[in-house]
Amino acid sequence: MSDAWQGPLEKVDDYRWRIPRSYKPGMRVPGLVFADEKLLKDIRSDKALEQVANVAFLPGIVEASMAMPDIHWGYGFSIGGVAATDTEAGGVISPAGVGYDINCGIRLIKTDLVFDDIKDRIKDLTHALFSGIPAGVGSEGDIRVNPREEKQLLVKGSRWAVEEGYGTEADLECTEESGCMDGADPDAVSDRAYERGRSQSGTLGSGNHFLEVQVIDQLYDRELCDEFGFDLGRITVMIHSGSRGFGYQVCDDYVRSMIRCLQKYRINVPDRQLACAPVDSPEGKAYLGAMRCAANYGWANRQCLMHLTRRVFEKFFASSWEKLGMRLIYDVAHNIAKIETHTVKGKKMKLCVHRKGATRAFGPGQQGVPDRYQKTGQPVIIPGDMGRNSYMLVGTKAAMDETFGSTCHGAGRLKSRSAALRSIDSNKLLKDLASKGITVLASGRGTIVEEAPEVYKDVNDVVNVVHNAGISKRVCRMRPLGVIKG
Amino acid sequence: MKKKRYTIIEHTADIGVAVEANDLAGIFVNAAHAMFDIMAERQASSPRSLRETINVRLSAEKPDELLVLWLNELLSLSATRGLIFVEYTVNRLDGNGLDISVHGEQRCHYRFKAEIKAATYNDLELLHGASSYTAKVIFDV
Repeated sequence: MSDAWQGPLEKVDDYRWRIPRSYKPGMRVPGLVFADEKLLKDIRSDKALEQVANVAFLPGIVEASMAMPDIHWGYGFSIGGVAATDTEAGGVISPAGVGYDINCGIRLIKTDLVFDDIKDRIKDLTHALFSGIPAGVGSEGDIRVNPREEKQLLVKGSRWAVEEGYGTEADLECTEESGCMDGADPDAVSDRAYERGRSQSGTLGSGNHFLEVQVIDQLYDRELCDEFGFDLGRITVMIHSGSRGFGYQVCDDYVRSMIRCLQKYRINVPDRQLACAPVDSPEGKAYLGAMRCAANYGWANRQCLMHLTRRVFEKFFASSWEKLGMRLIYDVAHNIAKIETHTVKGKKMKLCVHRKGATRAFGPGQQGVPDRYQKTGQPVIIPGDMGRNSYMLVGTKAAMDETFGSTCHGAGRLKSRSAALRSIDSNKLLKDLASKGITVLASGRGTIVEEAPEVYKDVNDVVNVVHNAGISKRVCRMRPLGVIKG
Repeated sequence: MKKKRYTIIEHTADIGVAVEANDLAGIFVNAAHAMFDIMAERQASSPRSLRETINVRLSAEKPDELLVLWLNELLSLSATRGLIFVEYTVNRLDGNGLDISVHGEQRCHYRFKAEIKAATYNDLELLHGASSYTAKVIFDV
């Protein structure tokens, strides 16, 4: 691993740390890191904080270049980064602030099943899910689209899937942006991206993507749990996936073209991967149009994956998914850029909010939050690793005031993939997980090792920070029972 | 030039490679080998298969940008054509452009180890030393 970061970090309070603007000439705002002493030790061990400082160079950035407690070293932006730029003052949009897997995100499905219903059948259920859901590198699914349908999918997002019979109107209501961003421009997408996207809808993918059957093992707020219908022992399902090869190609196409924009618009950034263009420039508008297509692809993909999951449950339990109570709680994107209005220093501003490995966490009463969650705030779904926990939280007013309505997105990686492969024995790992009652199935053993619990920070520590800092609020915690991975 | 010379660079979330070669062509070929070695390995039991050849022509303003462009083009072709590239014939390569024939085998003969989303510009290096070239590329996985 590379050398530890030696730059200055000023303590603001127990959960906030500042990288002063003076650290690097060219920083337009300071860095603001949400972490506690324990997490900070690991955060300092790689180049993530240098990337937080680099993002502060982006033209039009307001308030701070922010990092959530799951921050780790990425490319251009760190993963766990939030940056908002003022669209009316030359603010830029950067594909690196979104990532290659555009609209990588997660959805949480509640069921009426309880632990006792499945405790003796977890292995069989996991195998059934593994057979019924395409997963793995370059996996292709049965849900295929022709070129004309693909354009529809890019414009309509989850609605396309629902119109095809892969879900209901209620699913759309429980998806961020109702599963469809306005302003998607299919003409801004390259032929190659279309080609890569055509056969991959309804596929999980690989790496850290997963589908997990979980049980609720801790309630934090009785009132909020009652609102969502959560109680101890209830079975939930979590799906983590993104826009697959389609999104990778869109990002690659636009990083390439925006490198030229650095010179054209005289933008000075310390890392070429931070290539960007003013939001209102032709290049910025084209990227936004294409990125929204990929975002819609991501939502349609997770909608298709949920449909396949419901089908597996129906067959396995010989009951309809409606009778099993498989209701979507919410679907959130955690790699995305959005044009949003926020109040900054008492002034309403139209901002381009980049969330790269960060989740929107809008509070109660906020526009953009579904009617049914207006009282509670937007559900925030935070996956952990395959051996420990995952969480559901809600957004808060404090997040609106301080982080442009954003919070963490997961546990955050701690150890490189090669280090994991060198130090972890797959047989022992699977045995350990089995002893905790967790069944894991993956296309390759390497994936299981690369995604072992010890390569991640403890999600409990990460969630502790965002909860105590007030930028989201704990509702309940889940533990994994059955996991499928690519 | 066909000899694979590279080492893996540790990266918290992603993975990188450091490549060495006597000439620029060697850098491009070795980086491609490194990338597909990370992604997949040939199944021992798989029979010899016919190779498909594609001609790749690209241009860029700088040699290191050309390297990233080349690797991403291969990833993209691998995904759309269902191929793993195993051999490269360099017809022309200078700092601003390339013409390389790439030879690939069907993906069904391979076991996949990792999905590489893209080669990135993050910490990208391409250096010409006294007697050799070196390059460093970080992949998003």
